[in-house]
Amino acid sequence: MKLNFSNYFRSRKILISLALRNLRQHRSKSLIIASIMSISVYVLIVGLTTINTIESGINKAFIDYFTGDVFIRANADYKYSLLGIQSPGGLEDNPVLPEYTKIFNYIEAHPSVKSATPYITGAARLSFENQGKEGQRGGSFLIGIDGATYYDSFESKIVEGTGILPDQRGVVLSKSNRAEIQDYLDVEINIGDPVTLYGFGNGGFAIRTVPLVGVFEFVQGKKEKNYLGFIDGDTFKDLKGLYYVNEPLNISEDKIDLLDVDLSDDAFIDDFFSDDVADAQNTLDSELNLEIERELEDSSIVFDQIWEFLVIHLDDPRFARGFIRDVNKWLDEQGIDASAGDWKAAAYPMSTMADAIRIIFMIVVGIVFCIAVMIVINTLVVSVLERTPEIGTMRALGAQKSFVKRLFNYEIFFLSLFSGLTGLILAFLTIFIIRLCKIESTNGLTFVLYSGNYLNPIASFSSIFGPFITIMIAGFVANIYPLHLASGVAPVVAMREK
Amino acid sequence: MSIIKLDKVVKNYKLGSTEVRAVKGVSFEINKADFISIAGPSGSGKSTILNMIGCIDTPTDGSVIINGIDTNNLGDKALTSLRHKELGFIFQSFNLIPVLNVYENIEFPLLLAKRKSLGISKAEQADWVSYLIEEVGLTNWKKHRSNELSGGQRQRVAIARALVTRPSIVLADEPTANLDSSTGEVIINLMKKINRDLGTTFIFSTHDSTIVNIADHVIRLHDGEVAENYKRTE
Ligand SMILES: Nc1ncnc2c1ncn2[C@@H]1O[C@H](COP(=O)(O)OP(=O)(O)OP(=O)(O)O)[C@@H](O)[C@H]1O
Ligand SMILES: [Mg+2]
Repeated sequence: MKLNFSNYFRSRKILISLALRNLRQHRSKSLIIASIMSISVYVLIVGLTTINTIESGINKAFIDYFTGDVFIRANADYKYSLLGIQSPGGLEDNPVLPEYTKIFNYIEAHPSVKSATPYITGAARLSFENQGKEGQRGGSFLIGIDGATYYDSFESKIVEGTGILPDQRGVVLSKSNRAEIQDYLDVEINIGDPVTLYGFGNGGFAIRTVPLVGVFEFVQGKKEKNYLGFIDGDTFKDLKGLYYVNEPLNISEDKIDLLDVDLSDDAFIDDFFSDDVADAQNTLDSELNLEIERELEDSSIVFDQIWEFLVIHLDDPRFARGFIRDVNKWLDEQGIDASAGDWKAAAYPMSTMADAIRIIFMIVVGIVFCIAVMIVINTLVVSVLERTPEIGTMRALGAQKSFVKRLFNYEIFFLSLFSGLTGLILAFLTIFIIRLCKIESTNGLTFVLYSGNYLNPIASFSSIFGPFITIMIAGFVANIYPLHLASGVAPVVAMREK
Repeated sequence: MSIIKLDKVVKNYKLGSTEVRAVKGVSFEINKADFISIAGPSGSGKSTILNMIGCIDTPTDGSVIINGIDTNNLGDKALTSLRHKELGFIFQSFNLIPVLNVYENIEFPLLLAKRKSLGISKAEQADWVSYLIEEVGLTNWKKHRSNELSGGQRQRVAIARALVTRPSIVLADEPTANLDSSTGEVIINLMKKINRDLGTTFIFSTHDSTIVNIADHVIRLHDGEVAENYKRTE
């Protein structure tokens, strides 16, 4: 059989012309299908673009302000992140990173690493003494940092005072947190004022009083609400009682007994936050600390080595995945019971917010999409049934089944193409207009969600052509059954038309 | 020489649990270039027989032979090719393709085939379509769509369309049923003229006795059987 191109184009010409004219002839049905399809494309593009924007905003905010590109933590049989334990029970504390110094030295020397700094994270209660009222506040989420390396890794964002200097003890609070505390206590809290922190960790309750050394704001000039604070790592280690972790320490019986008794007594805990008891506890704690520190000098643990996480910025964040693989391999080889993860694991579960939105969006879209496809199939079937005599006539006149199939395929192709392009253009216009409108972010949250000072939707290749290709495929899928009906029309029905 | 031969053709339709015996062993032959009328009352089997000759329906038993080819042996594809090459159709309800104008409707069957197999050039094809349009008297209506035409005009388009692939046989099932009697007569006479001009075999069914008389071979059916089969000589 010889290929005959002139014939191919000839029949294609009549098919295209017939298909386009049929679409116009049956315009009410074409319009129903086209609106369903173009709205689908529009919603998908705008939705995905919005989610992408939010996702990249969250991604950037976490990486820039909190998690870095990669983090390393100890392995544990429960799920935890920089944000703490994520299991429903959630009572355990973050485990301590084993062989911290060895890991840190390896990471620091790694050619892909830009900077690395350790963390201890967790919650603590804050209290401001001698300020009338009760002087207490609810919990804050604290990040214990190493003043010597932290500010090489993260921008300081300090708006008042200083950051935490190396070997300095102190707390840096977020501007919003301080403002709320000030409002609540009706006092002014200035740099240098003492902050008393109550912690609960491996060693039981602990109390420390350190000065407020600075105030920070992630996004300057925008209202943001968070209960974050930074604290020097050493004080946080005291609060969390991290000395008890790695090796059994030989601490005199009576002191441990005292702690145990305190803890088991609920009534005492209520009193615990009164200033008198706090002072008493402070003295007790410092006595205990002295003893612990003496013990530590004897033991193999070096105080500086106790950290929960190592947070790493890479020269090129795009290679995070490969870097994580390398580091995990190395940790494995070294027999260190720790592993590296990406920012998503580091900020779990908050990092999965965009994923959750995306999943919910996709489920809703999926359901709506199925309904839409059903309506399209139904409309196409009705159209085939209506045109049965016409199809029969073409078949009687010598049109093969394949001709009928091609005709209907062309019709759905043009309809999907037209609808897809319409949806795409409308979505583009919407995104363009949103960009033109320069919707300003008014607070820290919208600053993150908008990916910057203005709502700046990011239309990616896949968020645009994904929906477009999806609708083209959906069109062909919706057409399978109607096509089957159409090509099955017997030529004899041409005779039955009355 | 016979161009169509029916041999003991039976057609039964299943209608639920009962069987309708529409054609009960019909045999006849039709000669090339004849102008044949298949007559008979309603329900006598005229359409059923025309459909089988037209290869758009298959006999339950017996054989239909077109141009020496036994249609029982052909599949859908081959039957479709045979229809395209050898047969033209004129329908009771005209069956024009609504989105095409007069010229395009007539040209349509030509576009279903490779031009090579038709053996004509583009120019020849255009000339041929224009000739047919002139022949059926629609030169001024070329660009009109079917919904702008009268019934008689539509049937003229259908006649031209049936002839465009130069088939050896044109089948017309009650071509005048939807037309008033004078228009019907004009249409039949037009068919007769083309039959003489081009030598195409025409087979039409009707229960209008005045039209039957224009035919030179009449096959009269009654209750699925041939009641009368005669040729008229002028
Ligand atoms: N598709 C079908 N299913 C069942 N029975 C059918 C079918 N087509 C025709 N018949 C029956 O077969 C018989 C012959 O029908 P046919 O249409 O061939 O008659 P006809 O001579 O063309 O009649 P008319 O003049 O009314 O067109 C009738 O009894 C009819 O009811
Ligand atoms: Mg009939």
